[in-house]
Amino acid sequence: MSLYEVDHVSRRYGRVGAAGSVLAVDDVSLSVEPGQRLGIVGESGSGKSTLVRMMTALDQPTSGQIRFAGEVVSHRAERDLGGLRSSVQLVFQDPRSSLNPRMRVGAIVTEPLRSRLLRVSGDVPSDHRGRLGEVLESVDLPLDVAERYPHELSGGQRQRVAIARALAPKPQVLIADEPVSALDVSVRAQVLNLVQDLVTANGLTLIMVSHDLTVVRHVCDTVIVMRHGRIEEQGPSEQVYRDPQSAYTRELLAAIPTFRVT
Amino acid sequence: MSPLLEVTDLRIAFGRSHREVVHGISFGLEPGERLGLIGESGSGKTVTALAVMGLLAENGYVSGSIRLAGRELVGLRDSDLAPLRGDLMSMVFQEPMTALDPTMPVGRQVAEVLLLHQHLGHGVARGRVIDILAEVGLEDPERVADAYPHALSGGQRQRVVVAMALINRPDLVICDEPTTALDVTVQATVLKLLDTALDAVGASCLFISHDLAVVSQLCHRVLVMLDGEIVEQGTMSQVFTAPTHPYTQGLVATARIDAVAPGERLPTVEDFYARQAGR
Repeated sequence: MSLYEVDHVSRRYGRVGAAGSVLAVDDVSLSVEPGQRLGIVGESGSGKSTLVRMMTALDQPTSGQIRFAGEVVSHRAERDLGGLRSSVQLVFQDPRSSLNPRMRVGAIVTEPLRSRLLRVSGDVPSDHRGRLGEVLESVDLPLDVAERYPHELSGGQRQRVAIARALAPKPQVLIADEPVSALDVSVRAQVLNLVQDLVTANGLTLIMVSHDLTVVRHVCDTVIVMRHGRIEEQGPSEQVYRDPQSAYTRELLAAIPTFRVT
Repeated sequence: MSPLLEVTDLRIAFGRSHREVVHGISFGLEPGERLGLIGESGSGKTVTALAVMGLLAENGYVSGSIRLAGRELVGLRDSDLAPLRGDLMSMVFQEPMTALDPTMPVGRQVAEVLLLHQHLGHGVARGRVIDILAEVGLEDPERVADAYPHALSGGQRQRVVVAMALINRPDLVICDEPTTALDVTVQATVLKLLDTALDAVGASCLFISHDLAVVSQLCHRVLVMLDGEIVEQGTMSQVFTAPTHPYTQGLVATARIDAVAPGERLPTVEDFYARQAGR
């Protein structure tokens, strides 16, 4: 059984025909198998983040249905989403805005463990201190950062904290929305290596959103290219990278800066 | 030929304790040359640019020498520096949404830069603004001029910012990560635009980025900055093919994701250059 089933999902913002009405996601269907590493590629406005928001029930489709582990997760009450909330965790683009500046790292990382919704769903670790130590170690951060605030850390360290928080409730699925776009090129490789190691070590399913096909090709086994809310092309990422079928995918690939020595 | 910009033993310190963040760097920029300045966040590349522009915060202290077209800028009063800013030298910032005033149509903002430095009638100014907006590749420049920043796309906004930087045909344009906030496809078009527009006005460019691949699109020569010092400089091809400093070797290796087989460990800067813990 597929872990995720997205079935003819559309999302419209604003009423049909109204000025400024946008069809952000337009009849998208896809499935994600356990252990799969799926990349979603597209430009700003392609609908990739809206799709991910609906898959995490942070937004609701206008039409269509999303199932996670066999359960419908679209248009459900928050109290019925415990399974989804504990099994699917998110890492966002910019850790400066996704981490609460007034909380210490220790509190940030263990916050998902204190959520009542997640606690009732069962297998969330109850030894918070122990789990904090484990996840900080797994993202290569020393234990003493638990006492620090996000602003005291570098960009790469902050993104490690965001990853540690995502891992804390032992999720099955990690969704990373542009996890390295806000980072220096020199830090990017570290974070990508870390994500790969953690996905392998914990047997996670990975969904990674990015505008950079080289990053997706490196980390993911399959890729979906989105444009104007629709799936433009999909397939094994190496194949899409080497032999793109759609003109748009070729355009995306050509836009990635490579060394030019004149 | 004497350099357009000559920076000698530049030191920048901040705060009451005068904590030094740039430790005596020197470099020069020839007329028409494009120089890349590469380094990670906190390496001092942006404060160096701000020092040249005279835009450091009140608590920033500059020593050494910055000469632009033979004129010493260090120690100049702001009232003497202001006429140069936007005229002789200008700047393109990273995030066009914060560089533009959200409450003013963009055409008026571009005209403002022009009218500060030249006494023109508003009709003439408007014509010049429309011309430059067209020059930076904006379709329907009349409509764009009357639009507010929020009504434009990220790429259009960055084109407006480039238009503002170029309208007075400056000798030096400093670009501080001008494409970092943009999508890859938009980044490609903005880089192409800068390439042609800088040539068209004959401006020199100091191009700041953390991305060696982006710098290589525009620049012939590059400086590598690390912890407030320039650790390497040379032509793009020298630095790329035969980097000497271990940090630069790391930068070159990390910039080539496509050269690594999928799934394999990516090389990191730390593989080449071990730095103190806590970074």
